[in-house]
This record gives sequence, structure tokens and C-alpha cells, in this order.
Amino acid sequence: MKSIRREMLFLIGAAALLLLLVCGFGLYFTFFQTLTSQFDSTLVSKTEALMTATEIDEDELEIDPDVQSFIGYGPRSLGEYFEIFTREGAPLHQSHSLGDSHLPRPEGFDSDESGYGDIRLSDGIPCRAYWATFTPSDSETPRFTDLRILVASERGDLDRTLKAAVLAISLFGGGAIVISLIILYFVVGFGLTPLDRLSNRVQKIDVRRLSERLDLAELPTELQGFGDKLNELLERLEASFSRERRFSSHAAHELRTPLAEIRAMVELGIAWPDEVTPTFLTGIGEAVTELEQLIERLSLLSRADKLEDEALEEIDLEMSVNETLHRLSDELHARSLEISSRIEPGKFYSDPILWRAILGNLCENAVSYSPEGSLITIEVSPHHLSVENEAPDLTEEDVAHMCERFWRKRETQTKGHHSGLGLSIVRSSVEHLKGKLCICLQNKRLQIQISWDP
Amino acid sequence: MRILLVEDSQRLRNTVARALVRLGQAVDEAADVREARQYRDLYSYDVILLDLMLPGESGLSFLESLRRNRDDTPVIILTALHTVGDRVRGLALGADDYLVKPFAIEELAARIEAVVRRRSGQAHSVLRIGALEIDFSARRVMRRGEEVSLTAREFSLLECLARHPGRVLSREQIEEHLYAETQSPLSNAVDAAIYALRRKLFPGDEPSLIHTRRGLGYVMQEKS
Repeated sequence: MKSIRREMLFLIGAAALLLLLVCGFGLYFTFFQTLTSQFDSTLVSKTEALMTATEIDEDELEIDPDVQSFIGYGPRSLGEYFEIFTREGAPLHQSHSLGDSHLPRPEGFDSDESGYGDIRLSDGIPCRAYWATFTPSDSETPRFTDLRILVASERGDLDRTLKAAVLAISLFGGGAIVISLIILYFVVGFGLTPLDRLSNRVQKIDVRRLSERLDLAELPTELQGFGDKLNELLERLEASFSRERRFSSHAAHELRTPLAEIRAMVELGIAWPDEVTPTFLTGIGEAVTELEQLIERLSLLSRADKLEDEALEEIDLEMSVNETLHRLSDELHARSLEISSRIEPGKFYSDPILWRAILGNLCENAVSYSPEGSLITIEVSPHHLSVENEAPDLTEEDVAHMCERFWRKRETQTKGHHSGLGLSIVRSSVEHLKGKLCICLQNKRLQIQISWDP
Repeated sequence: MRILLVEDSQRLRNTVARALVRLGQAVDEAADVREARQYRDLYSYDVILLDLMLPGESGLSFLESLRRNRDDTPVIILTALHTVGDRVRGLALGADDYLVKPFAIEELAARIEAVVRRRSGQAHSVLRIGALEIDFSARRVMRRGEEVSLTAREFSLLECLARHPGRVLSREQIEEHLYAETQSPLSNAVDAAIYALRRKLFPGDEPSLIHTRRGLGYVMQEKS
């Protein structure tokens, strides 16, 4: 499982290590440059002193012993070396410290230019060397002109100082990183405390009490956006749970009445068999049919809610409208209702079950709730369906609630044929078929329009 | 016992009424509150069976108006509303019992009996009077340990008298409790029913517990 604390420690630790490496290298490089430069300056000074102290006496090259001792090349001096060569490279003079050996010639020594370099003596001692070309002031022969001088100092102390610097940087830097990470561990933990509190608070929200909300004022600024989104989620969950609870309760309620009828009739028939007449049995059959229709509507609603891949088929619009009107013909005649239908032909693809549900429910509602002798207008095209009828009792407020499940004009309206699910089924089906549903009430005429994108 | 059944589902109303009639009760049927009020204004009932979701005015509103008018007729709510909140609301408004649909006719009859018994101040469903032992719940009568076979109507007549021992009930009062509005009994129907009941309950020299009060009606008590 991912841990913010662990990730932060890892990232900050990696960043600190990188910083330490960059700073360490920078520091070491500065140290190295400074110390080497000082070392080289000393070498140059000694070289210049030697060059100044070099004399040609009776065709012999001599260096004042006092000056030699003064600048560190006396008979007992250690770790300091020099050697003077002719222009051709033949040794002319060397420091006492070299004894019988010679200094190794560094790379670049053969050119006339002066320069610095690292050399290693024959016994393996590392040295820093400087070389230059000079002509003693009283030289009169070509032999002693353009002499080459090579001055070297053992660099052991310099290397030890540099090593000590590397060690110090590594130890102090590493220690600083470890201590920083430990402190950071606690700081991050402290910083994450509000998140822990929020987590505990969310964990305590009971699914049965979704009306609870997080108090945003208690949250730090950084978490307020998150808390706000959580509150929005809770609100959506509460609405959804509440809708489902209402639906279950309504469904249970609607199923109870036909069940009660069937049960009462069956019990009456069992207790007093002489009550069982054909009319009595017809009553049971009707109750069963109503129950079946209600269950079918609930299943249809469930289908419209949960269908993932609708099975689109070509629908014959004219046939489907005529079938629906034929089914309602008895009621249409009984209530002297007039139908005006306009069907625009064209290819129309839809889920046949959902389409039948949409068309059937809209027409049934129009037929049931239109005043006697009024006109119902039906318009159908491949992109549009409209059913319009007179609705003298409906209000704008009713229109706002019409698609709610089990909504009826009055809460205590007669139970029976109309379950209050029709428009709810229409809405779910239209939503599923990616259409748009529009219900409007104008001049006491209710118009329900459904449109699909071409 | 006379019962007013207020239920908008015609099939359920007819069936329950028919079953109660077969059990010897007189049942008036109302499809809505308006009709129920008309019945209530005309007759007094032993119990009212009331659905809540009715067309127009709700059953709860009717119940509330009954109690507001100090009408303490026992009311049993018969409804599909089944949540605790619904039950509490009904009982808080003065209902005596609450039965959720679908229900068994037998249970409904037992609850009607229990509600009426509570209202008449009896703790048990069995009443002993003289040599008779009347079980209102089982709708059975024993005389000296032997069951007496009565029709539903005869038992209802006995129940009507036995529920009010020592109280004189007029013929009209008895008639009102025995016959629904749709039934039109003959003028001597009560007298004939009393005669038949006496013969069954108190044959031979057995002293009758049902006494005639001339000009007033009938009373059930141990001593005349």
C-alpha cells in the first residue's frame, strides 16, 4: 500500500542526497582548487628564488647555499626537490634531497613553456612540480642560456588535507541527511495528522446516517477542497440511497394491495367454498393481472436503469403507434377521445422494448388523464416523439414531480391500474437511449416531447 | 358486531366484507372518507376498519376528525404503508390497532375481537356467565362443558348481548349491530333470532339468561 509519509521521505531523502553530492563536489572542488593554487604559488615562489640565486662562476653553475637553505633546499631538507637542466636536457644541478637520483620529467616539460604537473618519484612518493626556462643573470655562454628548472614538493600533506575535507563533507553531509530524514519523518507525520483525523471522521460516517457532513472549518486549507468534494459525494450518496429506499418502500407498498386482494379472496374461498363463483375467480384473475403488470413495470424500470448494451433494431414507427392505439381503443371510445397522429416515415433504430415502453406509457397516460371528448395529438418521426393532451388539473409544480417514481397527482389517489411508474419508466428509458425528455404545460395542455440526435 | 370497512380497492373491500359477514358480523362498506362520514353519521359501529391511502381525503385525516369529535369508536388501520413511522403516526392519531396488507382474515377477525374486548373492559376473550362459557376469539359457546352449535348470526346476537351483561339493549340497537345497511331484516327478525338462540342455549328446563324487558328490549344476566 502506498504511504504518503514513506513517499515523501523517499523523495525528500533522494533530493537531499543529490543536493549533498552537488554541494559536496562543489565544496571539494573549491577546496582542491584553493589548496592546489596555494601549493603551486609556493612552488613558483621557490622556483623564482632559485632562479634568482643561480649564478655562473668560472663556467660552473652555482646556487647560493644560504639562499637554498632559506627557501628549503638545505642539506637536511626533506620533501623539497629541484633539478636544473641544460636546454638540451642534460642535468646540471640538483637539490641535496635528491641524492643520486633524478626527478622524473613531467608531461609537457620538454616545451619551452613553464607549467605545473604531478609526478611520482622513483620511490613512489607523489609530488607537485613546476618547471620554467631561465637564463642566469651573469651567463655569458650559450651552454648556460635557456636552462630548464624543475621544482617539486611532496604533496602528501595536500592530499591528506583534501582527503580530510572529503571525509568531513561526507560525514557531516550524510549525518545531516539522516538527521533531516528523522526530523522529516516526525514533521510529515505531524503534517499528516489532519488527514488521519479526516480519515477517522469519514470512517465514522454510518451508511444509515448519510445526512452527516464534514465540518470544513475544522480542516486545514489544503484539505478543504478534498473535504468539500467528500461532502458533495456524501450528498449524492444520500440522494441516491434515499431514492432507492423510497423506491423499495413504494414498490413494497404497491405490491401489497394486489397481494392483499389475492390473499383475502383465496382465504375466503378456502373457508367458504360456496363463495367461489366464476365472478369471484375472475376477480382473482384481475388481481393477478394487475400484480403481473406492476411487476412488469418494475422489471422494465430496472431494465431501463441497468441495461448496458441496448439491442438496437429498426422500428416501424407507424406500426408501433397503430398497435399502441389499437390496444387503447376501448378506453379511447369509452371516453370519446379524439386522436390526431402525424407519423413521418424514416428509418428509426431503438431498443424495441424500451421504445414500446416509452410510447405505451405516454399514450396510456394521455388517454387516462385527458378530459372526456378532448383531443390527443401524437407526432412521431425518426428523431422525435411528441404526445400532447389537455390537462386542466395539472400545475407547474406537478410537472416538476411527474417523473418521480410512484408519483401520482394526489398521494392518496386511487390504487389500481396506474402505478405512478409510467413517466419514471419513460424518463429512464429515454436517458438510456441518450434522448432528451421535455415536459411542458402551456394553456392547460401537457406536451411531452422526446428528441434524439439525428 | 357492526363494522364499517373503509377501503378504496373494491375487490379487497368486497372480499373482506364478505368474509366478515360469513363470520356473523354486519359490515358497511365505504370506498372513501366522504362515504365513511355518511355512514358514521347514520350508525354507531363497534369497530372501524380504515385504509389510509384513499382517494381524496386520507384515512389519517378521517381518523383525526373522529378523535377530534370525541368519537372513540375503535379503529383498526388496514394499510400497505408498513414502516415504523407509518405505524407510529397512525397509532399516535388514535388508532387502536394496525394491520399491514396483505393480512390473514383470521388475524383480522382476532384483532377486531381483541380491540372490541379491550374497549368493553374485558381482559380475556372467554366470558363465563351462568352455565355458559363464551369464547369470543374462537367464536364458540360451551354449556356445562358441551359445545353448542350456533350460526354466525346467532353467535353475533349472543356476543352483542354478552358484551353488555346486565344492560338492556333495544331491538333497534340489536338490529343495528346485527345487520348492515344493505341488509333489510323483517320487523320481527330480532325477536325470531332471540327465540332461536334461547332454544339452542337453554333447552328444556335450563333457566334462560336472556331476559325480555317489555317495551324496552332484551338483557343478558344471571338473575332476572
